[in-house]
Amino acid sequence: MLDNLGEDKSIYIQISEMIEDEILRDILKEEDRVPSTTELAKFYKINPATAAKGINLLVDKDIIYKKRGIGMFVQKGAKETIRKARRDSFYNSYVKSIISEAKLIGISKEDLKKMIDKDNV
Amino acid sequence: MATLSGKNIVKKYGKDTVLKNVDIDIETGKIYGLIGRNGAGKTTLLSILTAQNPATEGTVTLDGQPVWENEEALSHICYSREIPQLTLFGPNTLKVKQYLNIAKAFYKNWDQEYADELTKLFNINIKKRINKLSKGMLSAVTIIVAMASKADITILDEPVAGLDVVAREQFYKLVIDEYAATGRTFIISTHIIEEAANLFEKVIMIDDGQLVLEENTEHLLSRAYRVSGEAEAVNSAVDGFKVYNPESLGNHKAVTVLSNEPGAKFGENVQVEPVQLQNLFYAMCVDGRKEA
Amino acid sequence: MSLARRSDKYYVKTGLYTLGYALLLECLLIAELIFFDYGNDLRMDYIARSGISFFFMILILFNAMYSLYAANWTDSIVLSMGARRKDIFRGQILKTTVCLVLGAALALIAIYFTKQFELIGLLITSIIGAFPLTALFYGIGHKIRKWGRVAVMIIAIIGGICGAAVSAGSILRQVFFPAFNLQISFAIYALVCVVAFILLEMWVYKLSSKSMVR
Repeated sequence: MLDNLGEDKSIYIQISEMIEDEILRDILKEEDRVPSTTELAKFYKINPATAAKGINLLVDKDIIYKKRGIGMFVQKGAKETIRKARRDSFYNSYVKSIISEAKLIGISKEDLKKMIDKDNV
Repeated sequence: MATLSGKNIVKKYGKDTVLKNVDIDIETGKIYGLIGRNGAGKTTLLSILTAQNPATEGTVTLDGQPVWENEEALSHICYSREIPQLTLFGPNTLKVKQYLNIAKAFYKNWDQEYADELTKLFNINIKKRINKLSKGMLSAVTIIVAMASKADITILDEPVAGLDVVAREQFYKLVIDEYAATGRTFIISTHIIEEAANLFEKVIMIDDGQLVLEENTEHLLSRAYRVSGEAEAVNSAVDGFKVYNPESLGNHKAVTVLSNEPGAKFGENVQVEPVQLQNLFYAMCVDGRKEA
Repeated sequence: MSLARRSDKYYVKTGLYTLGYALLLECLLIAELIFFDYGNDLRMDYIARSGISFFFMILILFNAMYSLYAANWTDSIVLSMGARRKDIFRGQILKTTVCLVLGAALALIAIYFTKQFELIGLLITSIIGAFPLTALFYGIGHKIRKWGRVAVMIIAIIGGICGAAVSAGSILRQVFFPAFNLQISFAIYALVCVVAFILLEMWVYKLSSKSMVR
C-alpha cells in the first residue's frame, strides 16, 4: 500500500484506488480481509469517516463486501470488475494526456506508436 | 445527533466588536477543524459556545436547550484551553496533579485510567508545578484534560502549539483512536493546518470576527482551484469567479479561485491545480487585513 | 453525582486544606514560642494565650487571602471545567464556613484544655467579623484586573490587618462603644457584620454572575 496520500485527488478516492491496486496486483486476493476503516484511518492519519467513504465506494462497486461482525472482504471476481472498469476509463485517465503532451512537445503519432511497440512488458 | 448552535452571536469588549453576528451549528459525531488568524475571534467564539464567557448578544443552545449555567448541557462539553500561567502575586501555582484533580472533580465522565496512560505517554511529571512546565508540556496537559474528560463535545484550543513533531503525531493518532472508538465530537482549533487537514470532516473558518465558512472539508477543497498561466488568459478564465491571492511573476500569473460549486471549468489556456487547505486559508485571509 | 454535589465536595475539601495550612503555620508558631521560652520556665499560660489568639488571626487571614486569589485563580479553572457560576458562588461560602467553623471548633477545644476562657469572646467576634471580610476580599479579587496589582496589594495588607484587629473586637469596644453595655455593643457588632456580609455577598453574586474565563 502507498505510504503517503497525494494532494490531487479526494482522499477517499485515493483510499479506494489503493485497495483496488492491491487487488489487481494479487496482494489482496479474493476472500482476503481488507483493512478496517479504523485501521486505514490510523495508518494514513485521516478522518475515519473519510476512510469509511472510500470503503463504501468499493462496496457500491461490488469489489468488497461486509461480513457482519467480522470485517470487509474482497468479493469474488473483484479483480475482473476492477479491470473492466479501468479499461473503460483508460482512455480518459491516461491516453488523452499522453496524446496532448506528445502534441505539445512535437512527438508524432507514428513515433508514439513506435514507442509503444518497443515496450517489452 | 444533537447540535450545539450559536445564533446571532455578538461579542463586544467596550467599543471593540470581536464577534459580529456569528451563526454556527456544530453537529455532534464529527471532527471539526477551526482555523483563523490570531485575533480573529476563535477563542472568544469557543468560550461563548461553552458558556465560559457571556455573549453580548445572541443565544447558545445544545439540542435546543440554552447552555448558560445549564448542568445538563455543560456535562456534555469540555473546552480545554491553554492553561493560564497563573502568577497573581506569585502564589505557588498548582501542581499538575492538583490541576488534574480539579478536572476529575468536575468532569462527570472523567476517566482516570486514561488520564494516567496519557500522562505516561507524554512523559509528564505530575508533581511539577504548572509554572515550571515547558510550553510543550503545558499543551500535553490540556490534551490530557480534554481526552480524559470523555465529554461528548470536546474542544481543544491550539492543542499542538509547542509540541514537537513526534508529540503532534501522537496527538493526531489519539484523536483518531478515540473518535473511532467513541464517536465523540471534536473541535480542534489549530494554526498547523496542513498536518491536521485530513482529520477534519468539516472545517470552520473565522476571519475578523465573522464566520467565513463552515463546510465539509472535501467539498470545500473540491471547489477550490489554483489557476495559473499567462496573465491575460488567467484573467479571462477566472472572470466571474471569486478570486484570492493573485501572484505574478513576469507574465505568469496565478490566482486561487473558490467557485460556488465543484466542477468548475476554466478552459484550455490555463493550468488548474487543486489547493491544499492551508493554502486556501492563506489565500482567503492574506488579502483581507492590513499587515502589522 | 450531580454537578452541585461534586462542586460542594470540592469546595469543602478546599476549606479543609485552608484550615490545614493554618494549622501547619500554627504548629510552627507554637514550636517557636516553646523554643524561645526554653531558658525560662515555660510560661504555658502566655504560650497558650498568644498561640490561640494568633491562630484566629492566621486562620481568618489565610481564608481571606485565599478568597482574594480564588476569583482569578482556582475559581477560573473550576469555571473552565464546567462548573456553573452559582456552584462557585455557593462553593466559596461553603469553603469559608467549613474553614472558619471547624477552625473555631478546634480553637474552642484548645481554649477548654488550656483554660483560656477569656479568649472565647475574642474568638466569637473574630469569626463573625471574618465572614464579611472574606466576602470583601473575594469581591476585590474579582476586581483585581481593573484596579491593578499594587493598589490591591495595599488594600489587602491594610484590610487584612484591620480586619483581624477589628474582628478581634478590642478596638471596636474601646474606641466605639466605651460606655456601652457589652451585651448591646456585641449585638450591634454582630448585626453590622451580618448586614455587611449579606450586602457584600450580593455584590459578589453580581460579580460572579458575569465572570468569565480569561
